[in-house]
Amino acid sequence: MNEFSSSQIFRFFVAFSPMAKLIFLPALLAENVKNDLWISLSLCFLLDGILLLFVLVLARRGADISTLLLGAFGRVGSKILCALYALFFFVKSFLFFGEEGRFVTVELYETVPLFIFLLPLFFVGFYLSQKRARTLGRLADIFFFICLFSFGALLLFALPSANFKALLPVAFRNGTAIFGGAFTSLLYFGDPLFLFFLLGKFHPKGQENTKIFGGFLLSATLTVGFCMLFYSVFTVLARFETASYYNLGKYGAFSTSSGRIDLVITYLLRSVTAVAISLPGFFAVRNLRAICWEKSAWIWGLTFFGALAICLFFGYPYLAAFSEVLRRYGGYAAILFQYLIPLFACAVFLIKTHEKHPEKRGEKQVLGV
Amino acid sequence: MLFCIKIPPFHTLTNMNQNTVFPQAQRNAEYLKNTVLGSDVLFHEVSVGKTQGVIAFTDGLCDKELLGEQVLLPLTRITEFLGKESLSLLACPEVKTYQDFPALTEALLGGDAVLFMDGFTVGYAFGCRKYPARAVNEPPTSVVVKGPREGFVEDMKTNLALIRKRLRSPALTFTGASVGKYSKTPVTVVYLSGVADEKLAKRIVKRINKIQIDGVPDSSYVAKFLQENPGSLIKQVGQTEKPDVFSAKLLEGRIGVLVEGSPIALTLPFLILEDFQNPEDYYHSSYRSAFSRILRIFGVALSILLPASYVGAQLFQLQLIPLKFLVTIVNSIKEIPFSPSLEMLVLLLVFEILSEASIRMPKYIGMALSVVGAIVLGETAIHAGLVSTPAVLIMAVSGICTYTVPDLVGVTTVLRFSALIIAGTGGVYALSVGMAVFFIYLSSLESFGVPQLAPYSPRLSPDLTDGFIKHPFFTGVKRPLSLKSKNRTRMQPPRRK
Repeated sequence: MNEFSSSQIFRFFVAFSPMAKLIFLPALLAENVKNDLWISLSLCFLLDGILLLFVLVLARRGADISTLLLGAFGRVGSKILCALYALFFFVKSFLFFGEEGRFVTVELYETVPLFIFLLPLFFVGFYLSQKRARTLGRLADIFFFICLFSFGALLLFALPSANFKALLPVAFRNGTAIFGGAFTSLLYFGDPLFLFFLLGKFHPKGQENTKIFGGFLLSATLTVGFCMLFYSVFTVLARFETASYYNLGKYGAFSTSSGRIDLVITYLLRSVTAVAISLPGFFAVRNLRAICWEKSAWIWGLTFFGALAICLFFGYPYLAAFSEVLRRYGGYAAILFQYLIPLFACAVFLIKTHEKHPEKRGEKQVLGV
Repeated sequence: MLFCIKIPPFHTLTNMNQNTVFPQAQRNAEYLKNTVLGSDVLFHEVSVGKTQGVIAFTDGLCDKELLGEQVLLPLTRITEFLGKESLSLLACPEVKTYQDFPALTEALLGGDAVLFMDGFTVGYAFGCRKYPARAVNEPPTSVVVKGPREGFVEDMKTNLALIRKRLRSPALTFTGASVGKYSKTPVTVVYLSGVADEKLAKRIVKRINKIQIDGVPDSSYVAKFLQENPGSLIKQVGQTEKPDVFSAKLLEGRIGVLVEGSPIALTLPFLILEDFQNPEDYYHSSYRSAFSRILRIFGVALSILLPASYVGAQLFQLQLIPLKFLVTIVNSIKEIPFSPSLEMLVLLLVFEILSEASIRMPKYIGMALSVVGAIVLGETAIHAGLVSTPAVLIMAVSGICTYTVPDLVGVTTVLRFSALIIAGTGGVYALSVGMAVFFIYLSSLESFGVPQLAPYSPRLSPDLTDGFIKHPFFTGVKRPLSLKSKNRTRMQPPRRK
């Protein structure tokens, strides 16, 4: 009960993985990649899937994140890496919190001052960073059903208005656009990286790895399917429909007679989004604690989210420009921090554990003969 | 002269910090008179053959009739007092021997009668206790239509008997402790050996033994020491006044704690789900129980969120409200001088004041004041244009819904006001973010290592048979997984041909 179960990880992916990706990303991809946006997303999920496979193999072998990093980078290297990851997560948090702020300003509260609705978000992030890792699994257990219900309802609302022919022809855009779209979206992905930092907290047995991977695939299907539906509903106007699921939900026929039920669903999803966008901050604080002051989570939480708040409040007028720069160049950082470094650490661990048991290698050779 | 015993002066007696009993009965009596300062401790001289003695007892706690019948009368028939051999001739079945004054004083002040005899350096404590206590009645906090109506009382022995009557097993374990520097309140930890987690039971006993406090007037004091997170909004120790509920929880694998002087028994570990469970859920059909539980959850959610959602929608997001309702609401509120959040805050405060006053006021004027509060205040305020009808309606619905789960009244009230302030400041968006904070808080709560949101978070599928939806009776074959019981099977469903 105090570790992550495979069911919790399954729900973790389904509940939190799609949330940050569905605020502005579908509209941005619709602008650059148009009807092939689902291919760009699938490419990003493919990279995530490769990382997840490695993480699951390591989890099965009982790997622990501390020993993994120490083995691959040494003590000093690990601390430097933790600091760099904290910075990387800061960049991701800036992007996610900024988009959430823009969503609220543009779609919900046009005239309300920024700090009124951004301050609670920072508090959520700070408060979550003070909790233990097991809280994430328990939150996933709760939010999983909220997400399933909300997405199901939104899909039902929008399905009658969808024109799936707008997705044809497949791969109409050239490779540059598709890969370019995938590259600019990379910063929104990398959820298996969270699992990488939780190595040691879950120990899958038997077919549990299949269940975990199934959760990842389900979240990928939900995200890609949602974006396809989004483009099918709005087609060429999709690039203007920022806040994708908020705009998608407006097309329910009975929402006007029974009140804005789609708005209720949007608000329910805001609860889940508040936690989802706080996840990079949660892991940033964990990394910072690994460097020093391990027991003072509140100091690092305050530092991280305080700095984030200051950057957002002062940088808000230029948020669109900052976000554009982050998306354009953030892909390089994403490739390095989300994929290359974890894969390198996984490879080093696998090689070292393989070298530790030469008798098993010999045994296999005998068995092979 | 050679055998004269020099008795030291009184002040040296008290300075000696005397522990052991003197061989002179009168001296022992003098010592007790000077140590125990209450005038309710009485002394009576006895003679057993040629041996003189003194019997001490606390008036009001000791049953004088029993003392006379079981101890004093048989003593008069004994020709020579020989210590332990003579005790077997007495009719009192509970006799303890003490050699030190602290234990004797505790027994005396606990209601035992204490006998000192010349030539013996021990005191004999006879169990003739009779505490003033009320009869076993239905508890006012847990009323049922169908089911047992017995409730715990303030007397520990009666409570233990009520439990023993329901669990006639040698596995039922009582472990006693004493808490309170001045009150020395007996506390008993109860569990079923072989069913409950015995490591947890030992941990609880250890924690109770470490309590340092002047006195314990109620079990809630002990509960505060047992809580792992004393500042938590949600309690971490279960409470019940009903022996049938208490026994059922012991059978599930929980540990119980009884405190002398309190009719509220404690149970550990505690899950939030327990507050939504009612004893009648287990005595009625599962369909009715499932419906009732869903109604309770809905009631609590409505109680917390309805006023806040109404205010948030009015202030920030009017399109949340269906058009027909919106027209009615707008027509009602157009003349109201207050902002929606202030209006609702005042109404909720008035409701809480009425609720508090109705508990405290004498029952003879309760009816009149209820009429004044509910009808006169509400009607006049609406006619005066100070508050709107929808707001009063929402306040009333929210207030009534609070009492669907009486154990959560305090928590629901705090959350209702908090949600109102949040929604009044940031609208429904801030409320949804607030919900995220609340879920994070709930997810981190644990009661002795058991997550309090179990079996929903973490999800424990076998335990869901007794969750928010009550499954049919024979699905509860296993004890809850969350309680880490060694023996998980509690029932064998009948085989149907």
